[in-house]
Amino acid sequence: MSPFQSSLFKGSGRDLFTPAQVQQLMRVEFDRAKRHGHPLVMLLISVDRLAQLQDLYGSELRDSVLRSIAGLVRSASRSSDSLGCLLDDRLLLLTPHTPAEGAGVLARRILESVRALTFESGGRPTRVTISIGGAHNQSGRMELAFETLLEVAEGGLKVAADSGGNRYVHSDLYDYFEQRRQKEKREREKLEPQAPIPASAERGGDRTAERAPPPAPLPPPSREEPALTEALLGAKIRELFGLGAGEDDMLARIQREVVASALREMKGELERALGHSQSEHQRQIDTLERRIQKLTQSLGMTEAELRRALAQTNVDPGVASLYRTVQGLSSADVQQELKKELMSKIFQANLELRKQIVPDQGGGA
Amino acid sequence: MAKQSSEETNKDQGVLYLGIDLGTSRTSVSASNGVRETVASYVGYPKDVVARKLLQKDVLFGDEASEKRLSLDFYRPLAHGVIRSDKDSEKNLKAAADLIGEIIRRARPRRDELIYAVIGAPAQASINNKEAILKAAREHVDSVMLCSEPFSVAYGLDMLDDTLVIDIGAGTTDLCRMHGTMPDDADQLTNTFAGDHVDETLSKLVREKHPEAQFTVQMIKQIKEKHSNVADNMPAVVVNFPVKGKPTPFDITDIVRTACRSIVPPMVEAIGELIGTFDPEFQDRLKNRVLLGGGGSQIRGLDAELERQMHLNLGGGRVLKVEEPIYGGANGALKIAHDMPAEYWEKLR
Ligand SMILES: Nc1ncnc2c1ncn2[C@@H]1O[C@H](COP(=O)(O)OP(=O)(O)OP(=O)(O)O)[C@@H](O)[C@H]1O
Ligand SMILES: [Mg+2]
Repeated sequence: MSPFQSSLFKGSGRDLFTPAQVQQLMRVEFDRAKRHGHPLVMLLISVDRLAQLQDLYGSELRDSVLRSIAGLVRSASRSSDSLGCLLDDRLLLLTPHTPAEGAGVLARRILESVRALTFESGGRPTRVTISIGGAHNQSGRMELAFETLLEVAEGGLKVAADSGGNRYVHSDLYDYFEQRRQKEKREREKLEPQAPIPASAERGGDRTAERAPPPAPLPPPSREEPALTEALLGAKIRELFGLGAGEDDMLARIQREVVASALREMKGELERALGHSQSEHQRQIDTLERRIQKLTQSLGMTEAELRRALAQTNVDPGVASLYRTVQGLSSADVQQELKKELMSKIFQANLELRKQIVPDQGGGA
Repeated sequence: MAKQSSEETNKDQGVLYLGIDLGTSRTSVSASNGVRETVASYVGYPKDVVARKLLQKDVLFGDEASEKRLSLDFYRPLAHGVIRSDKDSEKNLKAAADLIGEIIRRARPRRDELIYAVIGAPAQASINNKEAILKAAREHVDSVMLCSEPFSVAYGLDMLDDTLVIDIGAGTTDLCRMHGTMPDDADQLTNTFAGDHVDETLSKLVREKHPEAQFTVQMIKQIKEKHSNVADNMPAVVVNFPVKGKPTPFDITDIVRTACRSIVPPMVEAIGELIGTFDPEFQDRLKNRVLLGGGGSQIRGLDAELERQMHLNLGGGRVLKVEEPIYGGANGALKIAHDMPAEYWEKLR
């Protein structure tokens, strides 16, 4: 396994590499796959409901869960694979020379062995499950960035975790980008102003989003636009560029360019404005959520107080002593004399002790 | 019923006597109202707001604290029988004080009663520790005295003459020679070959012999308490340990026997020393009145094994087990509290 394999764990006390370094080293592995054109699989693994697990059983259990699962993943993978632990306790596994089908087999193997794990917490056995998001670089020849593959795997992991965990979701690179494009398109359409915006590469449904977009075709002059405005603009351009009567072609081109760039500018403005109001909303939601949290907390405290007060009202009156008066040695005791002496010695020792502790107070005078 | 009551205290108040045994692993109380309670000597405070809300308590004791220890700041304040002062000594003191308070509460005293308590503390407790114990106790009782632990066991059983008391606790085994007077330093020996040592030995042996088995010290302790035995023909001990998460049976009979026996040789040596330095005329009598108490005395076959070893090394011996190992110390302390003349109690109020 890669050199950083054994030293990835935060909390294992031997974390020679920071999560950032782990990513750095993985990137090296990733670049190698790209250079040599071999296929490579990335699995991103998270423990389901880890935060709640920690709240219930403490960080010791969390660490031991993470360690055991890392151990399992390690033994399920090959020595050439790289395993790392990211800052947020997700495990990242890179397996080079593996086709996409191999990723599924490996992921299911890991899922199964985790299901068989039991942890001891407070004397009770506890089981955990994990979610896995996987991505594959297909041929290794694609001009993919490490971050992109990670993003694809993250997408799968989120779907896996959000649908209850204990499952593996493989996101196909192409599908992923297709989906992203669709989403962006939908968002764009929502923003679309009255006038048509210039078509971009995505619009054309090009299957290779990675490729550089072809130059944007110029939009035809809008029908709705009043002729007067168009004429005005033409006059302005003629004036600005000093165009003669025979240069109508040039005028038309400049005019199209100007309209297109104005529309682009407007679209940008609109997006910014919308983004702004969205983040404003988000802020309000956050504030409200924080407030709710606070209120819930104080409600909990009040409840606890109430319970305590309630408990106070029916305090245990206690159990009466069998002796109502001060006792002492029974004169019937055969060892009475000896015991009397022993009692006196114990008393003397305690008196002495008290003098040592509170020298000025003396012996109960 | 006893009659002597030299100086009358406030007549309408009764007196509740408490005998308390402060141990590394268990703290017990015997009270003159008939209540007897024991609690594992663990104290825990919720780690954070979430834990507090979940547990709905500010402090947990005993097995409950042990069960929830992952969400607690967890203390075993009396490790080695005295209040620990190694780390977080302040917090340990608070934990010890809270534990003493809890055991007194569990005796369920009435508000209109005076409370007089005798606390059995290890003979080797330092002044600081005794001070801490007294300070903590005084918050809850009207008058308190300390007395050495093995002595109270012997006193409770009326074995004040020529008896060798062995109290096998968690942290220490305390030996004390009784000869009709208050035992002094020369009459007492303490070693650390006790319950915790058996746990450690057992853990070590299991790890050596079955490295694949997964276990915690807590599991080992439970196994020991269930199966402890030193007999050659002890019943087989087969337990399940998880291996890679899967419960797998292991036969650990020999290992359990070896671990339990590990405390015997040091004990025989200490017995030999206390007998050898005793008045020769009474050595045989002492040898034949060895009294085993404390939680560790529940190891099956320990009395017979000790006798066998004493025959080999000391030319003979007879060993008795106390009937109530858990409450031996507390019962004795209660008896002392009861037998103590009232004027002494009042002078220490
Ligand atoms: N059945 C059993 N067999 C063997 N050991 C036992 C058994 N039951 C309890 N023990 C052990 O006895 C020890 C506790 O004994 P005890 O309650 O007398 O100790 P303590 O007074 O708290 O400790 P110390 O005297 O060292 O302060 C523990 O180590 C416990 O595991
Ligand atoms: Mg004890």
